[in-house]
Amino acid sequence: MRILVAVDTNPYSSYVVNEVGKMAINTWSDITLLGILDPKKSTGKVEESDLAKSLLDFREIITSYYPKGECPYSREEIKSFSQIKDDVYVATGKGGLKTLKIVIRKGINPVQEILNQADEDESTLIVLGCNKTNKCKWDDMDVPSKVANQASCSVLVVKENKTPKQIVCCLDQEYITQNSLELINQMVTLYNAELKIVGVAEGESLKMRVENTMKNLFMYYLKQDIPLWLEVINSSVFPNFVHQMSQDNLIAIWLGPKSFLKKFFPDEKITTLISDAPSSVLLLR
Amino acid sequence: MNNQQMSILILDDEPIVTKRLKPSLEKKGYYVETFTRSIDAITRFKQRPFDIVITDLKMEGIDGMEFLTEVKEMRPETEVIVITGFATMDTAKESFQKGVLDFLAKPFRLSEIHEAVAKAEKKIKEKKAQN
Repeated sequence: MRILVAVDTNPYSSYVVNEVGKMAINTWSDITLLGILDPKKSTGKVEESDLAKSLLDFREIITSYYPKGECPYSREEIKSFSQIKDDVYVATGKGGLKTLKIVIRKGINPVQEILNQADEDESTLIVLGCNKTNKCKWDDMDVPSKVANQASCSVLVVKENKTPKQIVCCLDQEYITQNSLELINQMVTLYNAELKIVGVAEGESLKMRVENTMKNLFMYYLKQDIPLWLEVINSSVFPNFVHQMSQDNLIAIWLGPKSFLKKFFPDEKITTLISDAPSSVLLLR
Repeated sequence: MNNQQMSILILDDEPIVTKRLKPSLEKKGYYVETFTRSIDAITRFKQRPFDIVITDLKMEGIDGMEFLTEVKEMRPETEVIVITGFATMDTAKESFQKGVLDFLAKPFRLSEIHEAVAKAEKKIKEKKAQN
Protein backbone atom coordinates (compact mmCIF):
# COMPACT_ATOMS: atom_id res chain seq x y z
CA MET A 1 0.00 0.00 0.00
CA ARG A 2 1.26 3.48 -0.82
CA ILE A 3 -0.03 6.27 1.38
CA LEU A 4 0.23 9.94 0.52
CA VAL A 5 -0.14 12.10 3.63
CA ALA A 6 -0.90 15.72 2.78
CA VAL A 7 -0.17 18.02 5.69
CA ASP A 8 0.25 21.65 6.61
CA THR A 9 1.41 23.34 9.82
CA ASN A 10 -2.01 23.34 11.54
CA PRO A 11 -2.62 21.11 14.60
CA TYR A 12 -5.03 18.81 12.72
CA SER A 13 -2.07 17.59 10.66
CA SER A 14 -0.65 16.04 13.85
CA TYR A 15 -3.87 13.98 14.20
CA VAL A 16 -3.39 12.81 10.63
CA VAL A 17 0.19 11.79 11.19
CA ASN A 18 -0.79 9.83 14.29
CA GLU A 19 -3.47 7.98 12.33
CA VAL A 20 -0.99 7.21 9.58
CA GLY A 21 1.52 6.05 12.19
CA LYS A 22 -1.03 3.52 13.47
CA MET A 23 -1.77 2.39 9.91
CA ALA A 24 1.91 2.10 9.08
CA ILE A 25 2.75 -0.07 12.05
CA ASN A 26 0.24 -2.65 10.75
CA THR A 27 0.72 -2.34 7.03
CA TRP A 28 4.37 -1.30 6.57
CA SER A 29 3.18 0.96 3.78
CA ASP A 30 5.37 3.19 1.65
CA ILE A 31 4.64 6.71 2.85
CA THR A 32 5.04 10.15 1.31
CA LEU A 33 4.68 13.13 3.65
CA LEU A 34 3.70 16.04 1.42
CA GLY A 35 3.64 19.74 2.20
CA ILE A 36 2.75 22.58 -0.16
CA LEU A 37 4.56 25.90 -0.04
CA ASP A 38 2.98 28.99 -1.54
CA PRO A 39 5.82 30.49 -3.65
CA LYS A 40 4.53 34.01 -2.95
CA LYS A 41 4.91 33.52 0.79
CA SER A 42 8.16 31.56 0.85
CA THR A 43 11.31 33.06 -0.57
CA GLY A 44 14.05 31.45 1.52
CA LYS A 45 15.51 27.96 1.44
CA VAL A 46 12.94 25.17 1.50
CA GLU A 47 14.64 23.40 4.42
CA GLU A 48 14.44 26.55 6.54
CA SER A 49 10.66 26.87 6.20
CA ASP A 50 8.28 26.08 9.10
CA LEU A 51 6.67 23.53 6.84
CA ALA A 52 9.94 21.61 6.38
CA LYS A 53 10.45 21.59 10.16
CA SER A 54 6.92 20.26 10.70
CA LEU A 55 7.44 17.56 8.06
CA LEU A 56 10.66 16.44 9.74
CA ASP A 57 8.83 16.31 13.09
CA PHE A 58 6.03 14.25 11.48
CA ARG A 59 8.61 11.81 10.12
CA GLU A 60 9.93 11.40 13.67
CA ILE A 61 6.40 10.74 14.96
CA ILE A 62 5.85 7.94 12.43
CA THR A 63 9.18 6.24 13.13
CA SER A 64 8.68 6.63 16.89
CA TYR A 65 5.83 4.11 16.73
CA TYR A 66 8.41 1.33 16.31
CA PRO A 67 10.72 -0.11 18.94
CA LYS A 68 14.43 0.38 18.23
CA GLY A 69 15.66 -2.01 15.56
CA GLU A 70 12.18 -2.84 14.28
CA CYS A 71 11.42 0.23 12.19
CA PRO A 72 11.03 -0.54 8.47
CA TYR A 73 11.84 3.09 7.59
CA SER A 74 15.19 4.81 7.56
CA ARG A 75 15.86 6.80 10.72
CA GLU A 76 18.88 8.53 9.26
CA GLU A 77 18.95 12.22 10.08
CA ILE A 78 17.84 14.40 7.19
CA LYS A 79 19.93 17.51 6.70
CA SER A 80 18.87 18.75 3.29
CA PHE A 81 16.30 18.50 0.53
CA SER A 82 17.13 17.65 -3.09
CA GLN A 83 15.38 19.51 -5.86
CA ILE A 84 14.20 16.78 -8.22
CA LYS A 85 12.38 19.04 -10.66
CA ASP A 86 10.96 22.55 -10.87
CA ASP A 87 9.41 23.39 -7.51
CA VAL A 88 9.57 19.83 -6.14
CA TYR A 89 11.94 19.02 -3.27
CA VAL A 90 12.49 15.58 -1.73
CA ALA A 91 14.21 14.37 1.41
CA THR A 92 14.66 10.77 2.45
CA GLY A 93 17.06 8.79 4.60
CA LYS A 94 19.27 6.00 3.30
CA GLY A 95 18.33 2.38 3.85
CA GLY A 96 15.11 1.04 5.30
CA LEU A 97 12.93 -1.79 4.06
CA LYS A 98 10.16 0.61 3.18
CA THR A 99 10.06 4.17 1.88
CA LEU A 100 9.23 7.15 4.06
CA LYS A 101 9.96 10.29 2.09
CA ILE A 102 9.25 13.96 2.57
CA VAL A 103 8.16 15.99 -0.43
CA ILE A 104 7.69 19.74 -0.59
CA ARG A 105 5.99 21.14 -3.67
CA LYS A 106 5.82 24.83 -4.38
CA GLY A 107 2.51 25.84 -5.91
CA ILE A 108 -0.44 28.16 -5.58
CA ASN A 109 -3.04 25.41 -5.95
CA PRO A 110 -2.64 22.87 -3.11
CA VAL A 111 -5.37 20.61 -4.49
CA GLN A 112 -3.60 20.21 -7.82
CA GLU A 113 -0.23 19.68 -6.14
CA ILE A 114 -1.69 16.89 -3.96
CA LEU A 115 -3.35 15.23 -6.95
CA ASN A 116 -0.15 15.49 -9.01
CA GLN A 117 1.89 13.88 -6.23
CA ALA A 118 -0.70 11.08 -5.86
CA ASP A 119 -0.48 10.36 -9.59
CA GLU A 120 3.33 10.41 -9.59
CA ASP A 121 3.50 8.08 -6.57
CA GLU A 122 0.64 5.87 -7.82
CA SER A 123 -0.78 6.27 -4.31
CA THR A 124 -3.37 3.81 -3.04
CA LEU A 125 -4.69 6.19 -0.42
CA ILE A 126 -4.48 9.93 0.24
CA VAL A 127 -4.84 10.92 3.90
CA LEU A 128 -5.39 14.51 4.97
CA GLY A 129 -6.92 16.28 7.92
CA CYS A 130 -8.98 19.29 8.77
CA ASN A 131 -10.59 21.05 11.67
CA LYS A 132 -14.17 20.25 12.65
CA THR A 133 -14.83 23.84 13.63
CA ASN A 134 -13.96 25.66 10.40
CA LYS A 135 -15.95 23.60 7.88
CA CYS A 136 -12.91 21.48 7.09
CA LYS A 137 -10.96 24.13 5.22
CA TRP A 138 -7.26 24.72 4.78
CA ASP A 139 -6.74 28.49 5.19
CA ASP A 140 -10.22 29.17 3.77
CA MET A 141 -9.71 26.77 0.86
CA ASP A 142 -11.80 23.62 0.41
CA VAL A 143 -8.70 21.46 0.03
CA PRO A 144 -9.93 18.20 1.67
CA SER A 145 -13.28 18.08 -0.13
CA LYS A 146 -11.79 19.01 -3.50
CA VAL A 147 -9.10 16.36 -3.16
CA ALA A 148 -11.77 13.86 -2.07
CA ASN A 149 -13.91 14.66 -5.11
CA GLN A 150 -11.14 14.81 -7.69
CA ALA A 151 -8.67 12.09 -6.68
CA SER A 152 -8.52 8.87 -8.67
CA CYS A 153 -7.57 6.84 -5.57
CA SER A 154 -9.25 6.48 -2.17
CA VAL A 155 -9.16 9.43 0.23
CA LEU A 156 -9.38 9.45 4.04
CA VAL A 157 -10.25 12.77 5.64
CA VAL A 158 -9.28 12.62 9.32
CA LYS A 159 -11.23 14.84 11.68
CA GLU A 160 -9.82 13.95 15.07
CA ASN A 161 -7.90 11.40 17.10
CA LYS A 162 -10.77 9.07 17.76
CA THR A 163 -10.97 5.33 17.26
CA PRO A 164 -14.22 4.49 15.47
CA LYS A 165 -16.30 1.71 17.00
CA GLN A 166 -18.07 1.00 13.75
CA ILE A 167 -17.13 1.39 10.11
CA VAL A 168 -20.22 2.01 8.01
CA CYS A 169 -19.60 1.22 4.35
CA CYS A 170 -21.99 2.28 1.66
CA LEU A 171 -20.95 0.18 -1.29
CA ASP A 172 -22.16 0.26 -4.83
CA GLN A 173 -24.20 -2.82 -5.61
CA GLU A 174 -23.33 -3.02 -9.28
CA TYR A 175 -19.59 -3.07 -9.20
CA ILE A 176 -17.61 -3.42 -5.99
CA THR A 177 -13.89 -3.07 -6.51
CA GLN A 178 -11.45 -5.47 -4.90
CA ASN A 179 -9.39 -2.43 -3.85
CA SER A 180 -12.26 -0.95 -1.86
CA LEU A 181 -12.97 -4.25 -0.08
CA GLU A 182 -9.29 -4.63 0.75
CA LEU A 183 -9.06 -1.10 2.14
CA ILE A 184 -12.15 -1.72 4.29
CA ASN A 185 -10.55 -4.95 5.58
CA GLN A 186 -7.40 -3.06 6.59
CA MET A 187 -9.48 -0.41 8.40
CA VAL A 188 -11.51 -3.05 10.26
CA THR A 189 -8.28 -4.77 11.31
CA LEU A 190 -6.63 -1.48 12.30
CA TYR A 191 -9.46 -0.20 14.47
CA ASN A 192 -10.80 -3.59 15.55
CA ALA A 193 -14.13 -2.01 14.65
CA GLU A 194 -17.53 -3.48 13.84
CA LEU A 195 -18.33 -3.53 10.16
CA LYS A 196 -21.68 -2.46 8.79
CA ILE A 197 -22.35 -2.70 5.08
CA VAL A 198 -25.20 -0.71 3.65
CA GLY A 199 -26.81 -1.38 0.30
CA VAL A 200 -28.74 1.38 -1.40
CA ALA A 201 -31.78 0.30 -3.41
CA GLU A 202 -34.03 2.22 -5.73
CA GLY A 203 -37.24 0.34 -6.63
CA GLU A 204 -38.15 -3.33 -6.20
CA SER A 205 -36.09 -4.83 -9.06
CA LEU A 206 -32.92 -3.13 -7.85
CA LYS A 207 -33.72 -4.17 -4.29
CA MET A 208 -33.47 -7.84 -5.33
CA ARG A 209 -30.12 -7.23 -6.99
CA VAL A 210 -28.91 -5.33 -3.96
CA GLU A 211 -29.97 -8.19 -1.68
CA ASN A 212 -28.12 -10.67 -3.88
CA THR A 213 -24.96 -8.60 -3.67
CA MET A 214 -25.40 -8.40 0.10
CA LYS A 215 -25.62 -12.20 0.24
CA ASN A 216 -22.33 -12.47 -1.66
CA LEU A 217 -20.70 -9.97 0.69
CA PHE A 218 -22.03 -11.89 3.67
CA MET A 219 -20.42 -15.09 2.32
CA TYR A 220 -17.15 -13.24 1.63
CA TYR A 221 -16.92 -11.93 5.19
CA LEU A 222 -18.07 -15.21 6.69
CA LYS A 223 -15.10 -16.83 4.94
CA GLN A 224 -12.83 -14.11 6.32
CA ASP A 225 -14.26 -14.69 9.81
CA ILE A 226 -15.29 -11.04 10.11
CA PRO A 227 -18.66 -10.38 11.74
CA LEU A 228 -20.76 -7.79 9.96
CA TRP A 229 -24.10 -6.04 9.98
CA LEU A 230 -26.00 -5.74 6.74
CA GLU A 231 -28.67 -3.19 5.95
CA VAL A 232 -30.54 -2.26 2.80
CA ILE A 233 -31.95 1.25 2.65
CA ASN A 234 -33.98 3.16 0.10
CA SER A 235 -32.09 5.67 -2.03
CA SER A 236 -34.44 8.48 -0.92
CA VAL A 237 -33.16 8.30 2.66
CA PHE A 238 -29.50 7.75 1.72
CA PRO A 239 -28.21 11.33 2.26
CA ASN A 240 -29.92 11.57 5.68
CA PHE A 241 -28.68 8.13 6.63
CA VAL A 242 -25.10 9.11 5.78
CA HIS A 243 -25.46 12.30 7.82
CA GLN A 244 -26.72 10.35 10.86
CA MET A 245 -24.12 7.59 10.62
CA SER A 246 -21.27 10.08 10.27
CA GLN A 247 -21.94 11.47 13.76
CA ASP A 248 -20.14 8.63 15.58
CA ASN A 249 -18.73 6.23 13.00
CA LEU A 250 -16.15 6.18 10.28
CA ILE A 251 -18.25 6.45 7.18
CA ALA A 252 -16.93 4.93 3.96
CA ILE A 253 -18.61 5.54 0.63
CA TRP A 254 -17.66 3.88 -2.63
CA LEU A 255 -17.49 6.55 -5.30
CA GLY A 256 -15.70 4.98 -8.22
CA PRO A 257 -16.37 6.19 -11.76
CA LYS A 258 -18.91 3.40 -12.26
CA SER A 259 -20.69 3.94 -8.95
CA PHE A 260 -24.37 4.73 -9.12
CA LEU A 261 -24.14 6.20 -5.61
CA LYS A 262 -22.87 9.35 -7.34
CA LYS A 263 -26.44 9.84 -8.52
CA PHE A 264 -27.68 10.17 -4.95
CA PHE A 265 -24.50 11.62 -3.54
CA PRO A 266 -22.98 14.11 -6.01
CA ASP A 267 -19.86 16.22 -5.39
CA GLU A 268 -21.79 18.95 -3.49
CA LYS A 269 -23.07 16.39 -1.00
CA ILE A 270 -19.57 14.98 -0.51
CA THR A 271 -18.34 18.52 0.17
CA THR A 272 -21.12 19.00 2.76
CA LEU A 273 -20.42 15.61 4.34
CA ILE A 274 -16.72 16.37 4.67
CA SER A 275 -17.32 19.86 6.05
CA ASP A 276 -20.07 18.82 8.52
CA ALA A 277 -19.29 15.25 9.63
CA PRO A 278 -17.81 15.16 13.14
CA SER A 279 -16.03 11.88 12.34
CA SER A 280 -13.53 10.88 9.71
CA VAL A 281 -14.73 10.10 6.18
CA LEU A 282 -13.30 7.53 3.78
CA LEU A 283 -14.08 7.74 0.09
CA LEU A 284 -13.36 4.47 -1.64
CA ARG A 285 -12.38 4.02 -5.26
CA MET B 1 10.54 -22.09 -19.49
CA ASN B 2 14.22 -21.43 -20.16
CA ASN B 3 17.10 -21.88 -17.70
CA GLN B 4 17.48 -18.16 -17.06
CA GLN B 5 13.77 -17.53 -16.45
CA MET B 6 12.83 -16.86 -12.82
CA SER B 7 9.95 -18.96 -11.54
CA ILE B 8 7.22 -17.56 -9.31
CA LEU B 9 4.59 -19.40 -7.30
CA ILE B 10 1.58 -17.30 -6.27
CA LEU B 11 -0.78 -18.45 -3.52
CA ASP B 12 -3.94 -16.50 -2.69
CA ASP B 13 -7.35 -17.95 -1.88
CA GLU B 14 -9.03 -15.17 -3.86
CA PRO B 15 -8.87 -16.05 -7.58
CA ILE B 16 -9.28 -12.37 -8.51
CA VAL B 17 -5.83 -11.70 -7.02
CA THR B 18 -4.03 -14.55 -8.81
CA LYS B 19 -5.79 -13.67 -12.10
CA ARG B 20 -4.53 -10.09 -11.79
CA LEU B 21 -0.95 -10.98 -10.89
CA LYS B 22 -0.23 -13.88 -13.27
CA PRO B 23 -0.49 -12.06 -16.64
CA SER B 24 1.28 -8.96 -15.37
CA LEU B 25 4.28 -11.00 -14.16
CA GLU B 26 4.31 -13.23 -17.26
CA LYS B 27 4.46 -10.06 -19.36
CA LYS B 28 7.64 -9.18 -17.44
CA GLY B 29 9.16 -12.50 -18.51
CA TYR B 30 8.64 -14.63 -15.41
CA TYR B 31 7.39 -18.22 -15.33
CA VAL B 32 4.30 -18.15 -13.09
CA GLU B 33 2.08 -20.78 -11.49
CA THR B 34 -0.90 -19.83 -9.32
CA PHE B 35 -2.78 -21.64 -6.56
CA THR B 36 -5.83 -20.82 -4.47
CA ARG B 37 -5.38 -23.70 -1.98
CA SER B 38 -2.29 -23.90 0.18
CA ILE B 39 -2.26 -27.72 0.15
CA ASP B 40 -1.98 -27.68 -3.67
CA ALA B 41 0.77 -25.05 -3.51
CA ILE B 42 2.80 -27.12 -1.01
CA THR B 43 2.38 -30.27 -3.11
CA ARG B 44 3.60 -28.39 -6.20
CA PHE B 45 6.51 -26.77 -4.36
CA LYS B 46 7.67 -30.22 -3.25
CA GLN B 47 7.61 -31.35 -6.90
CA ARG B 48 9.63 -28.45 -8.28
CA PRO B 49 11.54 -25.58 -6.70
CA PHE B 50 10.44 -21.97 -7.31
CA ASP B 51 12.76 -18.97 -7.09
CA ILE B 52 10.12 -16.64 -5.71
CA VAL B 53 6.93 -17.25 -3.71
CA ILE B 54 4.18 -14.66 -3.33
CA THR B 55 1.70 -15.68 -0.66
CA ASP B 56 -1.38 -14.36 1.10
CA LEU B 57 -1.55 -14.96 4.87
CA LYS B 58 -5.17 -15.49 5.85
CA MET B 59 -6.40 -18.70 4.23
CA GLU B 60 -8.43 -21.75 5.15
CA GLY B 61 -6.50 -24.87 6.10
CA ILE B 62 -2.75 -24.27 6.08
CA ASP B 63 -2.42 -20.49 6.44
CA GLY B 64 0.18 -18.38 4.66
CA MET B 65 2.50 -18.20 7.67
CA GLU B 66 2.67 -21.99 7.91
CA PHE B 67 3.11 -22.21 4.16
CA LEU B 68 6.00 -19.78 4.01
CA THR B 69 7.63 -21.45 7.02
CA GLU B 70 7.54 -24.74 5.17
CA VAL B 71 8.83 -23.14 1.97
CA LYS B 72 11.78 -21.59 3.82
CA GLU B 73 12.56 -24.90 5.53
CA MET B 74 12.44 -26.84 2.26
CA ARG B 75 14.34 -24.27 0.21
CA PRO B 76 15.90 -21.35 2.16
CA GLU B 77 17.12 -19.65 -1.04
CA THR B 78 13.53 -19.09 -2.25
CA GLU B 79 12.59 -15.45 -1.73
CA VAL B 80 9.14 -14.93 -0.21
CA ILE B 81 6.88 -11.89 -0.62
CA VAL B 82 3.84 -11.65 1.65
CA ILE B 83 0.61 -9.99 0.46
CA THR B 84 -2.13 -9.54 3.03
CA GLY B 85 -5.54 -7.97 3.32
CA PHE B 86 -5.52 -8.10 7.13
CA ALA B 87 -2.13 -6.70 8.07
CA THR B 88 -1.15 -6.46 11.72
CA MET B 89 2.05 -5.50 13.49
CA ASP B 90 2.46 -9.11 14.65
CA THR B 91 2.08 -10.66 11.20
CA ALA B 92 4.52 -8.15 9.73
CA LYS B 93 7.09 -8.84 12.44
CA GLU B 94 6.64 -12.60 12.28
CA SER B 95 6.97 -12.57 8.49
CA PHE B 96 10.32 -10.80 8.63
CA GLN B 97 11.52 -13.01 11.47
CA LYS B 98 10.85 -15.96 9.18
CA GLY B 99 12.99 -14.37 6.49
CA VAL B 100 10.51 -12.90 4.00
CA LEU B 101 11.89 -10.33 1.62
CA ASP B 102 8.91 -7.99 1.50
CA PHE B 103 5.51 -7.45 3.08
CA LEU B 104 2.79 -5.77 1.02
CA ALA B 105 -0.57 -4.79 2.49
CA LYS B 106 -3.53 -4.93 0.15
CA PRO B 107 -4.67 -3.00 -1.78
CA PHE B 108 -1.45 -2.64 -3.73
CA ARG B 109 -0.54 -1.36 -7.16
CA LEU B 110 0.94 -3.80 -9.68
CA SER B 111 4.06 -1.64 -9.70
CA GLU B 112 4.58 -2.48 -6.01
CA ILE B 113 4.58 -6.20 -6.78
CA HIS B 114 6.87 -5.62 -9.78
CA GLU B 115 9.32 -3.72 -7.58
CA ALA B 116 9.27 -6.42 -4.88
CA VAL B 117 9.80 -9.18 -7.46
CA ALA B 118 12.64 -7.23 -9.10
CA LYS B 119 14.27 -6.87 -5.66
CA ALA B 120 13.93 -10.63 -5.10
CA GLU B 121 15.38 -11.39 -8.55
CA LYS B 122 18.35 -9.09 -7.89
CA LYS B 123 19.05 -10.76 -4.56
CA ILE B 124 18.84 -14.26 -6.06
CA LYS B 125 21.21 -13.33 -8.90
CA GLU B 126 23.68 -11.72 -6.49
CA LYS B 127 23.69 -14.87 -4.34
CA LYS B 128 24.23 -17.07 -7.42
CA ALA B 129 27.11 -14.87 -8.57
CA GLN B 130 28.78 -15.23 -5.17
CA ASN B 131 28.59 -19.06 -5.27
